[in-house]
Amino acid sequence: MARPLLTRLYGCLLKLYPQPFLAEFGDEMRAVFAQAINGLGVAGFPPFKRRIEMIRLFLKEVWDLPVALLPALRFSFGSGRKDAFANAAGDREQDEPDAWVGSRASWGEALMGALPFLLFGLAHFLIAIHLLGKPTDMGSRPWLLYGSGLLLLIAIGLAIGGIKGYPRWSYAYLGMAVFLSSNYSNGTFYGVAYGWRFWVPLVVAILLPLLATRSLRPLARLIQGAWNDWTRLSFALYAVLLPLYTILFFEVKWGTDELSGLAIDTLLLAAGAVAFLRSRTIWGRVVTLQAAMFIQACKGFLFAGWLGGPHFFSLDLWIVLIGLLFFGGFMFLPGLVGLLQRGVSALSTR
Amino acid sequence: MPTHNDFPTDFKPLREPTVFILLALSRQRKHGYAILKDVETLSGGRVKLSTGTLYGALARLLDQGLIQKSAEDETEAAIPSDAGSGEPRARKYYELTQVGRRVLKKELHRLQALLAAARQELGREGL
Repeated sequence: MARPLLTRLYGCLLKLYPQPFLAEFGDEMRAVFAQAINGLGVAGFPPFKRRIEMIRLFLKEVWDLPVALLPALRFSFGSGRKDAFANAAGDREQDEPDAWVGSRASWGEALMGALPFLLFGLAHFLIAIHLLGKPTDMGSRPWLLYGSGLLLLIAIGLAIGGIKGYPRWSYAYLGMAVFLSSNYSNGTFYGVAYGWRFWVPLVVAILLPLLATRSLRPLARLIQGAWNDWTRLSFALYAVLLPLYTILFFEVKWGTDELSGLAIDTLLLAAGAVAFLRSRTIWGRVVTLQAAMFIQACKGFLFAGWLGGPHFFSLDLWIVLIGLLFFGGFMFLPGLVGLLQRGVSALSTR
Repeated sequence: MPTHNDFPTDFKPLREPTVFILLALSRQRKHGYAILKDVETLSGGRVKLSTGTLYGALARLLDQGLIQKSAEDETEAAIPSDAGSGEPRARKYYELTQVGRRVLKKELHRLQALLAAARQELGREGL
């Protein structure tokens, strides 16, 4: 009875070790622990003493865990990590050139790609609750608190993406991190301009994978990914859309109507990100991004009509329209390059 | 990481469990459980490694190039299926590299010198 329970508990304990270390040693550790438990039976202990020894064996694993985690972490972020990195999804893409474009993201990856939009929506929802009915102001506390928290989470997502070889979903984090860093570094909080300090999370997020792999390989993969699948740049630009829309067009005041608008924008653009990542073709990806943006624009104009005409936006309606068209075209450009690239390579192979 | 040809000069004194692990591997290649038992026997039951500390140490020694994995034996020493879920898996063996052997010798010489110095000093004081 104690043996299966302890083996199961040991399995749970193993989950605390970093993944690359587990991938390398997890099975062996499980097997050695099971052998050590079985060995107590062979040693000829009476049943009660055997159970005590089994528990002692397990408790020693728990006791040694903090010490054992250090080399495990070192292995995971050191040279062992390089092997794990080499086996990351990206290398499958390298082996199969078409996989850069043709591979479909899993639901988990699609969710990761939608997460920055949801996080942005959540952070601004919290900011808006603090500022309900008040003029928005970059000098207020919620902007500093939730804004920098959001930037930190986006940077963490980008760093994870970097360690995984910059899969398609990570480009949304890159786009949003660049935009937020740029925006916040130009703002003032409590009358203080933090300037370049808001770029630190982004720089650390890019440096971390380089340090973890001790190579420039992640950076190379970032460029390689964009070169082989230009729609990734469209996705990075798409990630700018929600912050841009929110910051530019809702800067006059926050009210309950604006909050419902923000919630719709967040869900809409997150759904667009999922559709983009689940799409297999360049056309599919370009269309999903443009469609999400178009629907969001329609929603904006409908809200403007319902809630008091063009002055609902902080800018005139025609400026908003031109801005959206310009941005849509700009976002379409990388996808267009990708389509041309595919067309040229298809012609040359005939 | 040191290669087989480059003898590392910057190795600090090894910790006791590390010395015992290297000693356990000095005669022949061994799998994880055999190393665990050998360390216990060699230390007279004083050093009992958990699997966490054993594999943490093995990961570090692999990284430093002092040990290496040898070919897996898929027949005679497969891990029994009750050790984990599913089919029996091949056992992984570890063996000393040339660098590891030299580092172990250097460490044993250091310990011998230490012991000799201690004996000489204690003998002089009549302890």
